[in-house]
Amino acid sequence: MHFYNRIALYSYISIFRFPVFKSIFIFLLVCSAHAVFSQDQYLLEGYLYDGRSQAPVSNASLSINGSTKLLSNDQGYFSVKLSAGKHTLQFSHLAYDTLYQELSVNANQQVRFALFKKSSLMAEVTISAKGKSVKTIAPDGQTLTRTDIEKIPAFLGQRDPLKAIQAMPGSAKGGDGNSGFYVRGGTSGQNLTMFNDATIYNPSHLLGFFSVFNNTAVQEIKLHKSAIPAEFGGRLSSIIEINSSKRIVDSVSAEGDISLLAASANVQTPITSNWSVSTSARKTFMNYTVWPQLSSLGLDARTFNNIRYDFFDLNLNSNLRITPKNFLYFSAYTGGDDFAFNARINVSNGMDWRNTASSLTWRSILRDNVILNTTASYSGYHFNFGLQQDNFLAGISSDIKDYNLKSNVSVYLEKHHLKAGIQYIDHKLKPNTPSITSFGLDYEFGTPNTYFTDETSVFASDEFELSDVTGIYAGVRLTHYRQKGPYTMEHEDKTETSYSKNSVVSAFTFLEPSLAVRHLLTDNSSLKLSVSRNVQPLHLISVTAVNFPADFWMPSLSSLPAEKGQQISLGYFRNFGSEYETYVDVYFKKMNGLVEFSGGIMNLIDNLKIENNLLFGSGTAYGAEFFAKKRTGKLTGWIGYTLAKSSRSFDEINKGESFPAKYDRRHDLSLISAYDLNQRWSFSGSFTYATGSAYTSPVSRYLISGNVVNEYGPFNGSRMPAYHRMDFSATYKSKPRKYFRSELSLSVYNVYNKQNPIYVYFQAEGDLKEKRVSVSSKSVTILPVLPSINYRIFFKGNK
Amino acid sequence: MRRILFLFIGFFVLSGCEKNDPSGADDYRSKIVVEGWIEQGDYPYVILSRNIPFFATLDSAQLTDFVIRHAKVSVSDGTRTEILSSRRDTNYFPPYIYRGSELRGEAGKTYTLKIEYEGKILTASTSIPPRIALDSIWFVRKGENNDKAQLFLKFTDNPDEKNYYKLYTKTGSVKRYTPTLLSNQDDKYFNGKQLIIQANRAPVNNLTVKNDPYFEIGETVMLKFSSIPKEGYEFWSSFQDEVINSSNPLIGSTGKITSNIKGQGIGIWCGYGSSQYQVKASP
Repeated sequence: MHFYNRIALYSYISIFRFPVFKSIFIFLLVCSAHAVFSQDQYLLEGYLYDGRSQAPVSNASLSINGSTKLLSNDQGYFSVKLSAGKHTLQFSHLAYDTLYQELSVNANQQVRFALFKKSSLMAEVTISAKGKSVKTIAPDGQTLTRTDIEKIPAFLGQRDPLKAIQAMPGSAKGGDGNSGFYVRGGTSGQNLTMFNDATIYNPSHLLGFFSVFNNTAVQEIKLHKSAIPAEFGGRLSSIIEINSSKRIVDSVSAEGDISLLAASANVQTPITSNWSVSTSARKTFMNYTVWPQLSSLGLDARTFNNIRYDFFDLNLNSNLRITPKNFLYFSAYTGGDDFAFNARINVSNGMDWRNTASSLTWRSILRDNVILNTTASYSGYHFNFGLQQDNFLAGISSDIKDYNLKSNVSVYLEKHHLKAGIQYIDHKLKPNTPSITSFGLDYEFGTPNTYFTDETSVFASDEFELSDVTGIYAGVRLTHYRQKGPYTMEHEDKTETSYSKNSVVSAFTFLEPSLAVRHLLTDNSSLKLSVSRNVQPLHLISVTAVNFPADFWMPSLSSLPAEKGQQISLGYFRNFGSEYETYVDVYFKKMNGLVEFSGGIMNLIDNLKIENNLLFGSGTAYGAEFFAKKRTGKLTGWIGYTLAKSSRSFDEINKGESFPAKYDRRHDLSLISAYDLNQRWSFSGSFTYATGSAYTSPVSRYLISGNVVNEYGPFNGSRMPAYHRMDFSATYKSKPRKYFRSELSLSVYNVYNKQNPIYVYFQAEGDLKEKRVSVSSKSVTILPVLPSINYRIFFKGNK
Repeated sequence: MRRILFLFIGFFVLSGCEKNDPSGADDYRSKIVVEGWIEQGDYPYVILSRNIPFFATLDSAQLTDFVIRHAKVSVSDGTRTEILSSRRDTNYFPPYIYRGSELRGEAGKTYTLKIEYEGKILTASTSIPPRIALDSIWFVRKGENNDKAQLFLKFTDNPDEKNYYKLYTKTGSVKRYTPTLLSNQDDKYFNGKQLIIQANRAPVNNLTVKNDPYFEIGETVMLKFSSIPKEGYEFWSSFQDEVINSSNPLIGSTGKITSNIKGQGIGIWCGYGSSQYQVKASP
C-alpha cells in the first residue's frame, strides 16, 4: 500500500528524532492493520465533485440500497465496504440534484461521480456538520455555519460569528464591554483564534462590541474545547477555527449591508473556471454619524469629550485550482481600531490597534484518499496607547509578529483517518514599551523588553472504528520550545547575563496527548469520553479591570514557565429523529502555571521587567453542559445551559486560599430561536443569563490626607448582579428578482433595557468638615436598549 | 431624529446607579491608621484614627469616635526620643494631631516612630532627604478663554543621588497643601537631567470631583517641592493609584497601598525635605 510508504517517508525526517513519536507511529501502523479485510467483501472508494466547477463536494450523504451509510469528507472522498453483487448508490446533498447509480461490485474499485447544482437555487446554501454529533469520534464539538449565525439577532445590525459561538454551552461571555471568551472555566488568553490558519491575537474591536470577523467573509466557525486535535496545540482552553469559503465560484455574486453605524460589502467573482477571488470590507462611520451628535448634545461632557472611534476590516481570499487535484488558497486580513477622546484638562488620549493575518495554503490530493496540506502564514498585532498634554507625551505600545509554517498529510482508509504533520512558529514579542517625553526630554526606560521564541512541533493522530460501535481518536503533539537571544537576563544578585542573537536562552519540550472514545449505544445515541493534556507557552497578562486591548502577551521564559492543563470529559449524545440533537457533557479540568500581573496598567509606564512582576497559581474548573437543538421546521434554534465552577489558587493572593475565578459562572444559559413565518418574514430572538462576575469589594475605609481610602476584602469575594438580556429581530425578505434580492431587518438589543454593570466601584461623597460622608457602590453600565435597522442586498450574476 | 439617534448612541454613555452590597462585613479587621510626617527643620506630626467597616454609616458621632486621642506616640532620631502630645487642630481631619516640640527634622537623619495603644505596638522608620531648590517657576495662559494660568516648573536632578520628588500647591488661607495630579516623581527616568513639569491641580480630596487644573490669573499660589525617601514614594504613588484610578474601569484598583507601618496598622510615616515658594499666577 503506497500510502504507508508515503506517510513513512514523509514522517521519517521529523518524527523519528523523537522516541515518543516512534512508538506512537508504530501504534498508528498497528491500528492501520485493521484496514485489511476479508475477500468476500470489497472496498469501494470514491470521490464526489461538482460537475461544473470540479470542486470536491463534501458532506454529501451516501445511501446504499436505501439505507444511509456515510458522508463524503472535506475532499469529497468516501470509502465503503460492500459485499459482491449489484448495489444501488444514492448521493444526496441539499445543494445538488440527487444522483442514483447502479454498481456491480466484484473487486476493490475506485470511482468518481459528478454532482450538479440544483438549478433553482439562488441563495447560497451552506451545510454544517448537521446531525453528525452522535457518530463523530473526534470531538470537533461545535460547528456553526453562516446559516446558524444568521439565526441570531444581530447586534446593531452586525452579525458576528464569534459572538454566536459564545451562545454555545461551555463558552462563557465576559459581559457587555468585554471582548473576552472564557471556555470551560479558563482564561480569555487560553483560546487560539485562527482565521484561515493564521492566528488572530486580538479578535475583538473596542470593548468587544464586535469581533474582527466580518460575517460576510466567514463560511464556518469551529470550536474545539475538549481533546483538542493534535494538529493544534499551545492553548489550554480552546481552538477556534474560522474559515472563509474554499469554493471556487462560477458566477459573480455580491452582497452588501448598511446600518447607521457601519457598511459592509462582499464580492465574489470567478477569474477563470479554476480561479475565483472574494473580497470583503467593513467600515464603521461613527465619526460622522454618532460622535458629533453625542458632542452636540453634550452627553459626553461628564467624562470625555471629542470622542472619535471607528474601525475597519478588510478581507481578501483567492481560491485557485492548479490541477484537478492541486489547490492554492490565499487569504489576507487586516483590520484596526482608532479610538481617541479628550479629557477635560486639555489632555488628549488615543488608542489604536491592528491585526494583520495572511496565509497561503497548498492542498494536494496525492491520491483520492491521501491529502497533503501545507500552509505558510503570518500574524501581526500592534497596540498603541498614548496621552498628550501640550508638550508632555506618554504612551505604551505592544507588538507581536509570528511566522508559521505547517504541513500535514491526511490519509483516509476504510476505518481510519490518519493525520500527521510538522509545524514551526517563530514569535517576536515586544510587550509594553513605555515612552514619556516631557518638553523634549525623553524619559529613560532602558532597552525595551523584546522576546524571540520559536516552537517546532510534530503531530500525528488516528481516528478509527475499533468495532461497529466503538470509535477512537488518538492524537499526540510534541513541541520543542526555545527562547532565543538577543536577551539580557537579570539574576537575583543583580548581575546580568547577555545572550547574542539566535543563541538559546532557555528551551523545553512538551507533549500534548489527546484521546477520545465514542461508544454507540444505539443508532441515535452515543457516549463520548475524552482526555487531554495541553501546554501553553504564551500567556495573556491581564492589566485592566475589563478585558481591554492593553492586556498583553508574554512568552514563556526560564523564569516564566508554561501553563499546563489536563482535562477529562464525558458526554452523552442523543438525536431524536432528524429534527432534534441533544447532549450532556460533564468536564473536569486542572490548570497550573496561571499568571497574574502584580500591578495594574499604571505600573506599566515603567521600565520594569514584566517577568519579575508576576504571580503564579493554579486553577480548577468543572461543570456540566446541556444542549438541545431543533434543526428543522419553521421554528429552529437551541438551548444551551452550563452549570459550572471555576476557582483559582495563588500563594500571594488571598493568603493562598482558593478564590473564584473572575468569570466563574455558576449558571450560564443561552436560548436562541428563529421562526420563519413565510417566505417573506422571519423572526429571531435570544435570551442569555449568566451568574455575575466575581470582584473584590472593600471591607473597610479609612482617612488619609482628607481622602476616603478603601481597604479591600477577600480577592474576588463579591459578585456583580446576574447578567441577563433579551434580543429580538425581524427580517423582511423582498421578492427575489432575477439577479437581486434584499432584506430589511429591525433588531433590538437588550429588549427590556436591563442595566448590566461591567464594573463596580465605590465612591465617597460629602464634606468632612460638616461631618457628612457617604460611600456608595456605583456601577458602570454601557449597553441600554438599542434598536437598529439594517438593509442587506444580494446580487448573483449569470454563470 | 435626535431622540432616535440618542437611542443608537446611548451605549457609550457611562451611567451610574447605586446599590448597596452588604458583603464583606465579616472580613473587617480593626486597624490603626497612621499619617505621620517630619519635615526638615520642623517638628514631627502624627494623626491617628481607626478604619471603619465599609458600610457603617458615618454620622458625626462615629466620625468623632474613630479618632485615636489617647495613644502614646514617640519619635526617636537614634539618640534622642520625644513623646508627642495630642491637641485639637481643626486644620486637619480628624481634628486631633500629635505634635512634638523638641526634636526637629534634619536632612540625612533617620527617624523612628513608635505608637502604643490598647496593648498594640506599631513602629515605622523614615529618613529626611536634603531639600532641593527649583530652577524656575512660570505660568502660561490656559483655559477655554485663555483667562486662567497653568503652572510650570523646572528643576535639575542630582546624578549622584537616588531621588524621589513630590509636588504640592495651595491657594488662599488653606493650611494643608494638595498634591498635584501625577505629583510623585522617580528620578530613574531622568537621572541627572533637567526636567520641566506642567503641573495640573488635583481635587482637594476624593470626596469631590470639582477640580480646576489651572489657577486664576493674579492669584497667589503656594508651591511645595519635596524630596521624599523611597518608602514615601512607594506609599504616595500607590495611594494616588487607588484614590484616583480605582473608579476607572479601564484601570481598576490593584487594592495595594504600600504602607511602611509595622504592626496592626496601615498608613505612612515619612520624612520630607521641602522647598516652599510663594508666586503670583501671572503668565
